[in-house]
Amino acid sequence: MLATLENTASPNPAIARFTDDAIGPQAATWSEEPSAELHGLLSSEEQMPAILANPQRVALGFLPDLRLRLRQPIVVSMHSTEEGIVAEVSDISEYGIGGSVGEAIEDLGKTIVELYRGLRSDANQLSADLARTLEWLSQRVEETPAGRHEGPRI
Amino acid sequence: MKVREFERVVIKLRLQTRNAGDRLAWFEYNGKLVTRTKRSMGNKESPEYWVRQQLKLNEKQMAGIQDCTFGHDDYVSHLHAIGLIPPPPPSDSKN
Repeated sequence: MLATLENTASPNPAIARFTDDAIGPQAATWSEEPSAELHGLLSSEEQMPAILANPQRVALGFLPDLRLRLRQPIVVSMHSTEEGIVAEVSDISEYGIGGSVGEAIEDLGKTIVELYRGLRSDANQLSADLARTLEWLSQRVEETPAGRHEGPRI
Repeated sequence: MKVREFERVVIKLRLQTRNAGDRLAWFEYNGKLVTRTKRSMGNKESPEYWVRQQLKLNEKQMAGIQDCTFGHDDYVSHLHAIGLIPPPPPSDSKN
């Protein structure tokens, strides 16, 4: 998934760096060296090689639920706040928060899973605004056979 | 945003709540889920900006919740005003 990157030698496919002028999986590049700006935000146990060349935006590629997968990566904006590091998906006004970038993204992944499942179970009781949120999520999230994990289609 | 401030929002706006991995809160109106937000379990602070965004509140309204000048009925009126919920049907006036 996302945050359990200890001892990961290869770039984490769950997180990609996107250039501002070419958002999309085809534009993903990898950076092995953390930038000075984010070095202080990473816990000593985490290795996040891929996100740091452009620390303000990352891509969420996996969800922390093996029964769900992303059809396409979700672009996430990172913010540093008094309460901690915030990972935001502005399209659906959703966020994750943590003491580090990894924790925030992990929290966001769990939040998206909870939101997707919650809205689906209440699909007939949603306001127009939340119905649009569910539609947005449904375009990006799909069920997988339980226990089988696949990466996003790139 | 401290835990007690978040819980004051829950109480003043009469949000429904459920404890999952986080503490989830949502506003229902006429059987419809209209807005939703969350806070982390435990004593962690929540980012007020994003909580306000999710509840469609501005700073002044959030401050009003905390000092008890903005409540549930004000919230309903506000949601009407921004088009998130339909206005109440006009009451029949008998002459």
